[in-house]
Amino acid sequence: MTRIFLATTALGFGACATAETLTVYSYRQPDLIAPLLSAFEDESGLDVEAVYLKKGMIERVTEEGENSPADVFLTVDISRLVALKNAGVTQAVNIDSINRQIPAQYRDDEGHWYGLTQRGRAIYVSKELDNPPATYEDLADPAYAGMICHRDGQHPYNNALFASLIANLGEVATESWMDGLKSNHARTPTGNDRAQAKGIYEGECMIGLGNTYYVGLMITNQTEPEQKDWAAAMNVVLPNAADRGTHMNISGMAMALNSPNPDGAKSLMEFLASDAAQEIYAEIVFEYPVSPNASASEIVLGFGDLNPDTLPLTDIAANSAAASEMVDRVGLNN
Amino acid sequence: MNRGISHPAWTIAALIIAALILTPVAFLAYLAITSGGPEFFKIVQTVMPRASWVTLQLMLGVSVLTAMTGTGLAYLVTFYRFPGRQVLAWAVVLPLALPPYIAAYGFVEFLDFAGPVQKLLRWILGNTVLSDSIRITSKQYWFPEFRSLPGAIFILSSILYPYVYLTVRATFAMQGAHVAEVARTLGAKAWTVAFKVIIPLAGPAVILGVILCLMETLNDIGAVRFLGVFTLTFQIENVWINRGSLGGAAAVALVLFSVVVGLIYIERNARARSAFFERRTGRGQISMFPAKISSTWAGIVTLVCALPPIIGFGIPFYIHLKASMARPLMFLDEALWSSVSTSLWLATLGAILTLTLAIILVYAARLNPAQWFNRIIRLAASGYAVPGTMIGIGLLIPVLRFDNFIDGISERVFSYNLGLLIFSSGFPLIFAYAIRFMALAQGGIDAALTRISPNLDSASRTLGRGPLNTLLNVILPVIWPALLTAGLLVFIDAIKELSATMLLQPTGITTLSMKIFGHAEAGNLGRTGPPSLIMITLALVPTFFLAWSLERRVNSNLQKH
Repeated sequence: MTRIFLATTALGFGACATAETLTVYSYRQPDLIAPLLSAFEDESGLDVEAVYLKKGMIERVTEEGENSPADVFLTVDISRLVALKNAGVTQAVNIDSINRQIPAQYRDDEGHWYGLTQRGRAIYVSKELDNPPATYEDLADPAYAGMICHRDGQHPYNNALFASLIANLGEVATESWMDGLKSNHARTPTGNDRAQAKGIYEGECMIGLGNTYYVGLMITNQTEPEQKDWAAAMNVVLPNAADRGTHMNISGMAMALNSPNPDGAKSLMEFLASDAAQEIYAEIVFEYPVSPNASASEIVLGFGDLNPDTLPLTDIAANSAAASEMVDRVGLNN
Repeated sequence: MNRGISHPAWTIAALIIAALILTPVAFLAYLAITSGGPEFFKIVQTVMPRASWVTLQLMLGVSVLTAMTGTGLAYLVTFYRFPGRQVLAWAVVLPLALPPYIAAYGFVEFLDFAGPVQKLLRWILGNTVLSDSIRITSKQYWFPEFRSLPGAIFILSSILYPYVYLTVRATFAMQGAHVAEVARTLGAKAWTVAFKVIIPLAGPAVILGVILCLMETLNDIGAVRFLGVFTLTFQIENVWINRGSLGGAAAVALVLFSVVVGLIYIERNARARSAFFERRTGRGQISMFPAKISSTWAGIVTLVCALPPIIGFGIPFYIHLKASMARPLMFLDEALWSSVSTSLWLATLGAILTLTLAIILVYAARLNPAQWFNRIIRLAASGYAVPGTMIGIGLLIPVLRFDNFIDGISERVFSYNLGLLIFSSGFPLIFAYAIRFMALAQGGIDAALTRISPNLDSASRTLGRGPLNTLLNVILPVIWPALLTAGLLVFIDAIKELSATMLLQPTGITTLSMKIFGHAEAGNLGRTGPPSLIMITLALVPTFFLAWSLERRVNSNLQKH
């Protein structure tokens, strides 16, 4: 029986290696990505195989070497894009149509990776709070003692925010800020971003940290209408709008060094950068498109004018490990 | 059987299998030594003390709670007659069908502010004490926080206690009843019998069950992360992912591994002692158990026995059923059903492979009783002590290197591109299940084999059968119930496995557990309902079977007298 199974999967794999198909290694999960990939399949006639991973993409691709079936990588954050490039498993893509769609600050100088969407790391504030924080720095203000909730400090979204603070404010200032944040905790970090909104609704938290798009997903949630109540209990603050700007998480793509189907890979990347795909991101998952030609959804525009932090994305990636160590030193998760 | 002659063919085959099984651990050790040092020392200074303390508390809590629940239930079901006993003897095993991450989502959903329990509580409060409040917030009344260490202990124990129940119930049924009978006949009171005779008798079985619970606890990452309990297992992934230090992660994993191997060692000693008890006594008597008790007590016992399966199975099942009914269209998704068939295939093949390898290993150890050899065989069962993520990465890299090595030769010699032959076959994934769950199979088969007298082997050999012939025609037919139990346990665990599956998935393979993870990771906990419900149902079938075969064994054992 084993042999039959092995033979069928081996055949399946053999089919993947032909030029008719395209293999995507993705850290983004199917709920968000599958609609885009099937739109691309319809348009291009190519067959897309997606391998959804949660970790180990670099190790896998590195060890697969020249035999890697991967054509395109998709990740949820900037650190992993840069890590892919640093591991030497990506290749430069320089296609005018993509470069026109994606402004220079959202892509690698050499064309090894491209940002596709941005998500603001927002502050969720209870409507009952009179003087809401306006900056990340404010979160360490003792005035908010016992009010703040956020998810696990080692989660990539928080890790990237802390790394951006290290890059902007320096390590010493960030560490004392993190101490302050910890002493303002309403509870130990738990749950996902939506759970922080829920915590505000429940009255356990007054302030939460969360990505912008979750608010859109909660407001429009038909299957879990209670999430509309959570979103209704809070306002969204885009922090530091008046100074350096709001920290943005970047989701992005890169082309595999050993892509067996380079033409297919490039056409998928062109598609993901196109206005059509960027509109899908904006309307269905409420992210900010990177293309200036596409607009964010009405709900997201309602959060106020976005002033993104223009810190080079590579600076965030460079401070990722330092941010992770700081969380442990401060004991933010304790 | 001539004990002076070892069987070289069996010994060598077993050594090769053991070496393959230990590959990930060996590779992790290599990583830890070559690149783990600096990061490991940083971790030792920062997170290790706290993470170790949290992990230790979690382990202690889970040990105590599962030992009490599992032993208590086995005691009540074995020794007392009460309404619903027949049904409950099965029902208490049901929580085994739930992976920790699904149970954790379900529980928190149920007990959260917006869940049915607190809604009811607020409704009562709103109509009484807090009637002037427009909106009652969570700060106006106290409710236990389940996203916490005590919550994690409670939730993990509520689904893991069946491991203790299964081992202890089997022990009680094998000889507990007879020993208890003798004690009662000699005039001992029921309580004295329970605490002086029965509980000590169950000791080794309790330890075995608790160790299985602990290894499941140490493997869990989904539930503890969700509950905000930052264990060593959580830190292993953190060191790898956020610090980019796979070597450091490997070092922490090996520390954990050493602790659990220590635990296994204790368990082995315990079982060696229990072997003494497992000689059956008291044949030919009429059993006085299960004993009759007053109807009040019987009612209480029924309630007590119903509570653990309601908590460990009923609540999460209800939550996922409710979530599924809100989105029935998800059940029409073809991709969902193809992931169901993938999961079934992988778990079945995983169980078959694990059993086959376990039989070879255990039988080889029976043929060759040399101590060094038996130690190696036992070590091969220690994969259960390594988190699935680390088994996955420890297998992924060597397999891919081997594939590329073979491909390199093929290209040089035959100018033919073999590609990633082994990896893309999906075999490493099935093999990962064998590594992870070898302890489940070896433990059961080993226990069954030790109950068979070596005289049986000798007799068979005297009649001219070789070792293989003896195994296939004499031994396997006798121990098949144990094989079935072991196979079902592995199947259930393989269906639930996520971490190694995620890492070793060949292109084009999606399992049910990956589906659930995908929805959860995207923040759509409600959408995990349908795949979770299917997974629980799939695991339920073998769980029922497991309970049924145990009860059948117990009953036939009691009727012999």
